[in-house]
Amino acid sequence: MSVLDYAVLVGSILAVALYGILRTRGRRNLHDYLRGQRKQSWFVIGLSVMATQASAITFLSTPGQGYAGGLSFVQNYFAMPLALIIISAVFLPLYRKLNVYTAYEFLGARFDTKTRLLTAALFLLQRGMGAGITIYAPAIVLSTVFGWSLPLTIIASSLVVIIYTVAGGSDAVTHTQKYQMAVIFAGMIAAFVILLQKIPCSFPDALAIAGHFGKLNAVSFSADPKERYTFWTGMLGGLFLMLSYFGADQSQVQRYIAGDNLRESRLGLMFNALFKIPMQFGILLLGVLLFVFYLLHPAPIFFNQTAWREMPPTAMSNDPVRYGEDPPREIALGTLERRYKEAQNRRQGEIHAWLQLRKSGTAGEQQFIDTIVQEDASILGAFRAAAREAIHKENPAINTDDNDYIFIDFILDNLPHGLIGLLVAAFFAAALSSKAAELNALASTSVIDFYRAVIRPNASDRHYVLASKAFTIFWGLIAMGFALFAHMSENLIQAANIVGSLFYGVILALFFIAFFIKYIRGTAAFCGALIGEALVLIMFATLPISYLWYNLIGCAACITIAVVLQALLPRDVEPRGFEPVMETNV
Amino acid sequence: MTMPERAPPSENADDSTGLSLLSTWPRVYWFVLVVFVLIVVALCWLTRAFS
Repeated sequence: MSVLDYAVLVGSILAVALYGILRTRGRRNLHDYLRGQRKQSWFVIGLSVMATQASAITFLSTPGQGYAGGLSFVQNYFAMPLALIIISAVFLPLYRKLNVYTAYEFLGARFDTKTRLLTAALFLLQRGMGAGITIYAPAIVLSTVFGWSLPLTIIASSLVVIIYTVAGGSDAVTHTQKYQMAVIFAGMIAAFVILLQKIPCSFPDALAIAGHFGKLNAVSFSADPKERYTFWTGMLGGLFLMLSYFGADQSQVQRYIAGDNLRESRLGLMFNALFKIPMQFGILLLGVLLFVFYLLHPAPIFFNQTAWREMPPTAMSNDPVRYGEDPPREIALGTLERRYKEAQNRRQGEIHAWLQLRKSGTAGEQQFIDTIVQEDASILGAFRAAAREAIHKENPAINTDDNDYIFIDFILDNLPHGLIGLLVAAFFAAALSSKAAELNALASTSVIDFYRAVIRPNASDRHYVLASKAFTIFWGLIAMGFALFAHMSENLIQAANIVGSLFYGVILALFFIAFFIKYIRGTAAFCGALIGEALVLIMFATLPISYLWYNLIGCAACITIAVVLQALLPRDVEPRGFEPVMETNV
Repeated sequence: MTMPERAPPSENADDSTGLSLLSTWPRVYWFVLVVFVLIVVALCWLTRAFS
């Protein structure tokens, strides 16, 4: 990066953070600090909800997902419109009516304190880990690429977000998110336009190439439970994930209850229901176009080029051309890379020849492209596998999944200075915006559901504001510690979703019971949640099924067990809590 | 034939709804659902057309 890039990067991050601090000076009472002044318009709410969900992982890792797996990941978001409609119609009016600080206060009113505390604790556990991933994701990739110190990158970005979240509370998070989203969109659109210009064929030709390589697989109706992303996992598992994330995760609830009135909050949610799928599609399409770009341009054999360059000159790899010989014949990594480039050049020529055939409508073009696709998988795929194997043999600590480095490699090699800084600023803006919302929510839950409810019930407003600030710092440091000592083996966005899916099903079940199964009381719900969560964790450790199913399994298990237990337990022992009233004729 | 009179919308009218289902805001919700269905249809077309 040049001086100009650093100026854009540091300038935009600090300017937005300072704006957040200055704009929210004087938030002295707990209501303003944790819930904001509740004057936000639907557009700000919509952007804030979007910015909270879309972390740096979304923009850094999803193009890599598109590159490797095509568009199929978009199905993960299919249930979002339906989930947001349900939340807008059922959850949101109740949260506003009860005037709650956290979603878990509602469970306390409906069931009992132990169920409220269990749900809040599950949230703190999974969101505390999630906040670590949120900051680790950009730090690991950017520090590797730019040669920055990983601990320093994590510490510096954590401190920025802790400072402005502590200073301004909920409103600082919302106000900074507006401008962070502007930086993100500007960067992503610029990258998309430049990528389109650099692909040496028309857009329909690029789509045709991607289609033949199986990258435009947006929708699959396969019923195979081992297939990670299908229409069914998206609609069923995804519905439970989205309902739980938007309806019962304090980091989101805190965003949309800050609307000026119910209408503004609802419109903010509908904004996301309309635009989230197109946005994810656009980011995945960017990854697919990156795949086409690297078919027609030289691509590195391993996208984490820093790790590749650091391999010792004496390192050897199995020769993919003579693979299967016993003992396997080995070649130097330099030779492997040279042969890979030669194979790539041949493939580039073949694809250009196929494009000519396609244009002229010559017979046999289908067979020709099928051969190219087959060769790509067998020959070039074998080279890439050999490179990964060699890296793993030399240094097992290096993550051989290099998908997270694809987009940043493209940015560094192809974007002009200034724009590189803007894109890196966009990644950091995304990381800070979701981390800030997470810290704000973790602090709210810690103070409202534990500190004020259990530890210190009758302190002054000023005391709780100070406690909120202390908890924001505490969770910021916990997330920073998690990021400093984490080692992620999965693609980063999947790691974040897996952590969420393990807990969300049970949390959602408790809200579902609270809303719709009125005869179930606190003890049955509490035990159902504990047993359901244990079941999910055991299944995760033993079964190779898509993680999205755990949302459904956790939810179904908790509800079933609670229903059975309630039938066995005497009803009159526990008092009836607050019961939500259905008003369907409004 | 006269149009039925409507009470002027109060800014916080929605805030008193308690639990309202799809009867609140049906047009906005239906619009979102229709757009979603159109998006899925378009993605199915994309998958089939370029496979």
